[in-house]
Amino acid sequence: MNATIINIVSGKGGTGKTLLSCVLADMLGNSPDAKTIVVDLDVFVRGLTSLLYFHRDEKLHIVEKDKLTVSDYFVRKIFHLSKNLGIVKYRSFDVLPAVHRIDQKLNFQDLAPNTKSEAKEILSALIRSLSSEYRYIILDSRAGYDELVAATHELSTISVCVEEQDQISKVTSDNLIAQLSEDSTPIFRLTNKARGINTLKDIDQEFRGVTDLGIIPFDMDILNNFGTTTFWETTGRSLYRWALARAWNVLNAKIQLGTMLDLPRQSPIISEKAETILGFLGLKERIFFAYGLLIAVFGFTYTILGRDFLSIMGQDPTRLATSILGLLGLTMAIGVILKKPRR
Amino acid sequence: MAATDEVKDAVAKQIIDYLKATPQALAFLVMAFASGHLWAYVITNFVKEKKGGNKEIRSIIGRLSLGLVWLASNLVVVYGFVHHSWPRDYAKIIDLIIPTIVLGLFIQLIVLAGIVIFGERP
Repeated sequence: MNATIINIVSGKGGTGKTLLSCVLADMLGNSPDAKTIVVDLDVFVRGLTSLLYFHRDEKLHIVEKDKLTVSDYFVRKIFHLSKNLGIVKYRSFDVLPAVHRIDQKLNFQDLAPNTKSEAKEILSALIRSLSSEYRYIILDSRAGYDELVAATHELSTISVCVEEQDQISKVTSDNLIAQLSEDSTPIFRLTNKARGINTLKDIDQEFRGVTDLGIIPFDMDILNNFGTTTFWETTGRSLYRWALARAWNVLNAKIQLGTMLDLPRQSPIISEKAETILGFLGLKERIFFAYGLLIAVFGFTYTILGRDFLSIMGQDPTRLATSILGLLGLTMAIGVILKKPRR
Repeated sequence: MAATDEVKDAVAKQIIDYLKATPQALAFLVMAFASGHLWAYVITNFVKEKKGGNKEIRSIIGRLSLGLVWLASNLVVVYGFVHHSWPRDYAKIIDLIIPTIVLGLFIQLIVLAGIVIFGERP
């Protein structure tokens, strides 16, 4: 099998690379003929491996001792193919964890590759060990730039630089991309946790050029549910997943990776684009807000604009009831806004 | 073919004329779609297990039908409450359309709130 290697990088930490890698892997893993593995290359922070730890009822040992993890490759300087990898199944995709034990301490001197070419050789052996079995290999790289990130970029089919909307994130991404551009591997940018989407046009206008994959809107449900038992169910119906699938399909259209992702989600307020504007609210709150507002509009319009409503109000119970229900709808909508101020 | 087109045009004109003259009916149709959409969403996301069998309910006609059934049911209740009889007077039905839409959507939100508060499917 000819694997497509997708390297997920970022200029600074906290941009959401690991979560993005997992959700993308889950969507790809559920597609036909798209067996997917995520490799946790962030061996010190090991966010992806931590996810496995919680998934396995907080058992410290993620991988059996005789199996190889990512850190083993670098500590032992393994340059050859191996079939003894400590691959762990997670939902619809596989994971190669960074370490055996979640609390394993690593010595930076032993671990860090001495040169980019050494990092490249080790990584190449690791990737070759996986490439015969997987259609997609997603590399969850560490933030910033070093020999390892440079090597992963060179060995990958594409790199995706995940960034946030703020200027600091953009500058760090620019710096990283400038460094990585020494190699010819294509780099695409993807803006995560996008806020301040005020009009529907903002979403489409965020495509800034040939290398831009667009935006993943900030989704309160993802923030609130990360690390909880309901996370994946929540993610399944989230705007986040829909936007990520959309970004993947944009990437696919640009470089023909072969797997198109379905966008089966139906927005509760009919339009996903309109829903992104309400991304600062959770899914259920968005529903109450949008439909509450609708009730308010109909209720008050009917009541206030109805002819001679003042005189009829006392006599006609439907107008009275409608105005009360309209008021309750408006209260519901405003209540949601006041409870969850935009951060 | 020309005759068929003429019939189509005539029917479309009748419908457009009717909707122009009766904005309440247009509002009822639009809101029936919104209501049906919300019901379909709630059923497929919060109540029924996803087994790939909900395609009809997700179609435009499916959602519109669902909303029409829901709002029509509400109309019967509202009409009965106001006029103490089954709905049979067209003018009175038209008068009650907006309160019916408001009541129908409001009850939907109450049902959704109940589902959220008392637990979704495991």
